[in-house]
Order: sequence, then C-alpha cells, then structure tokens
Amino acid sequence: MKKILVMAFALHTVSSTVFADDKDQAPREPAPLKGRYALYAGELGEKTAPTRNDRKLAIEITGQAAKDMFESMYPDYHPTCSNERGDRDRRKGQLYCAYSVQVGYRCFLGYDLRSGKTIAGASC
Amino acid sequence: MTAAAVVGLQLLVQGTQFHISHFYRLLNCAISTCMDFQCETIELACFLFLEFSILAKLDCKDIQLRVERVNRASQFLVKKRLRGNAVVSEIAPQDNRGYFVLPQAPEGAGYYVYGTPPNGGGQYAHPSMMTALIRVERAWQSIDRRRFGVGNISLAGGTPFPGHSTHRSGLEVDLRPLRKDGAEVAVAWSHIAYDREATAKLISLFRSYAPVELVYFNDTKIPGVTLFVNHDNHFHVKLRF
Repeated sequence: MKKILVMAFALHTVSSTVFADDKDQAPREPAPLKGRYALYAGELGEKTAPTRNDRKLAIEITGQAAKDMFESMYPDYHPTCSNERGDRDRRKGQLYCAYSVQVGYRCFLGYDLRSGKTIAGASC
Repeated sequence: MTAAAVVGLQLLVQGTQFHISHFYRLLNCAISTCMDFQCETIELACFLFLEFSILAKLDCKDIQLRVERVNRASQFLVKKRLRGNAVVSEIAPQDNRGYFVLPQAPEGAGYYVYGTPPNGGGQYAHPSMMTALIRVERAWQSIDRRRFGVGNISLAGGTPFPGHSTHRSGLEVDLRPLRKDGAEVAVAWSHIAYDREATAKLISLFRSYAPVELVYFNDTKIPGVTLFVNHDNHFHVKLRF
C-alpha cells in the first residue's frame, strides 16, 4: 500500500511538472517593461560620457519581467553578490538577475553598441 | 556645537567603539581648537569633530594641526557663499539614514574619489565604513605616497544603485587597485601597470582596521580575496554590520 502511495505521489509530481512546463511553453502576449537604461563609455563603475567610438548600453529590468526572467534562469548561482541570507543570484553568460528581499527582482544586461557584443550590465 | 555632539553620539551608538571619556576629551579639544583658530562656521567644527572623534588613536595635537590646515584651506566640505552681509553655509550632505558623504578629496588625504554620480552622490557611507576608510587612509598615507581610489559606496537613502546589484547598505565600497606609475586611473589586475604588492597591502590594511566580511577581486595571488565575475579592475570590500 505504501509503495502504491509513493508511486501515486511521484506520478502526480511528474504530471504537475509536465503540465506546468506546457503552460510555460505557450506564447505570452507582449507586456510592458519596467526598467531603465544608461549609455556610457569606459567600464561599469567607471562610467564616462559616451564617445563616438565607445558607446555601451546598460539595461536594468525590474518588476514582473525581471521576476519572469529570474525564474527562467534556474538554478541559483553561488556565491551571491550580497552574501546576505535570502538574497539570490542567477547568471547565464552576461545576463545577471538578482533577487533581494528589500528590492525584489532586478535583471541586468549590457551591449557594446559599436560591436553588438553582449557585455555585463552590472557588477556587485 | 550641538550638532557635533549629536553626530558624535550617533557614531558612538552606531558601532564606533571607544570610551566615553575619550569622546568628551576629543569634543572639548575640537571646541577649544576651533575657538583658537576662529573657525567661522559651526559646521566646520562639527565636521572636524566627526572625522577625528572616530579616530581613537588621534590626540589633541593631531586635531589642532588638522584644524589649522583645513581652516586655512577653507573648503573642506564647508562651502560659504557671501550674499551681501549674510553668510550662508552648507554642511556635508547627509541622507535620511543619517549617513554622510565621504569627504571629497580633502587636502592631504591618502585617497581620491571616482565614480558616478559625481560629487559624492554615490558615496554615502555607513559610520563603520566612514571609520574604516579614514583609518585605512591614515595608515596608508604613512607608508605610501600614492593615493588610492575610492568609488561607489551607496546612493542617498540606499536606493538601488544603477549598475550594481548591491551597494545599498553603505557597508560596501569599490576601490581601484594601485598602479605602479601612481596614476589615478583604473587598472586591471592583469595589466603591466598593476601593482600587486601595493594592492595586497591596501587590502590587508582594510582587514586590519575594519570588520571586513569579504573582498571580491580576481587576482588569485592576493590572499583572502574571493574571485568574482567583473572584478578585474576594482575590488569590492564589504564590511560586517
């Protein structure tokens, strides 16, 4: 009986996951985006005014979009920038999302606008 | 001088550790010294007291020397504008957490400031961080003529800092590694101009004089640092609360 119960639970868990994945795969309607951007030259934390040959873009996305991105970028990345309990980081290449209890979800990405290459949008 | 007392007591409450008798001795010293040198504004006395009272090792003579120098330079956070006969003074910016902006390139200091926003807009420091930076600056100045670069700390009120996922508490600071040529510009740890020995010494001073929780920096030859993406041209120091 115990075995049957365990198998039923496992089946339920798997089917729930598959169902959830199916839901995620459905295309969503485009939604407004919350965030901000900055054009700069130089390096992050060393920003100067953009020049003719050095123009970079840093984008910060917040709100629901950041949450959606964060949730899609599993698993968590360790260690976190803040080293605070409850804070979580996720990274994929240059794409970086962070969750903190006080601020919520924030995602950062960047582009070198002269080359089109992706670059970091934030540091710790 | 009431403001100075309030600031001093605030520091005392927020973690600066020295005996109350030393606090009063320094307060009296700051008052009498400013009277001797005829400081024109109460804010100057306030700031001097703020700076020196957190340096427990300084004595009255140190304060007198500094007051004289600062008073002569007459632009050490205190800006005065003369409007007819009226004197309008501005004190060091303070945010709603009670945090002050790091003094911006004070005369004779062992550090310089960089980063955006300019004019200290991103350098609101927790009292522990302020104490740490001033202590390290004093120690650094006694062993090296080069100045070290202090960058972003936190924005007023601890609002989210563009380009940073942290830097909200006032307990985190970005600093530039030292360069062999002494130039006050950025350098990556892999660059020929990078001075590993001096940078290691600076990091060790932070560990000696402040409650350092972690240091993010990608030079693996410096002991005790944690490797972290995007920390090649600066190191990130976080202090324990």
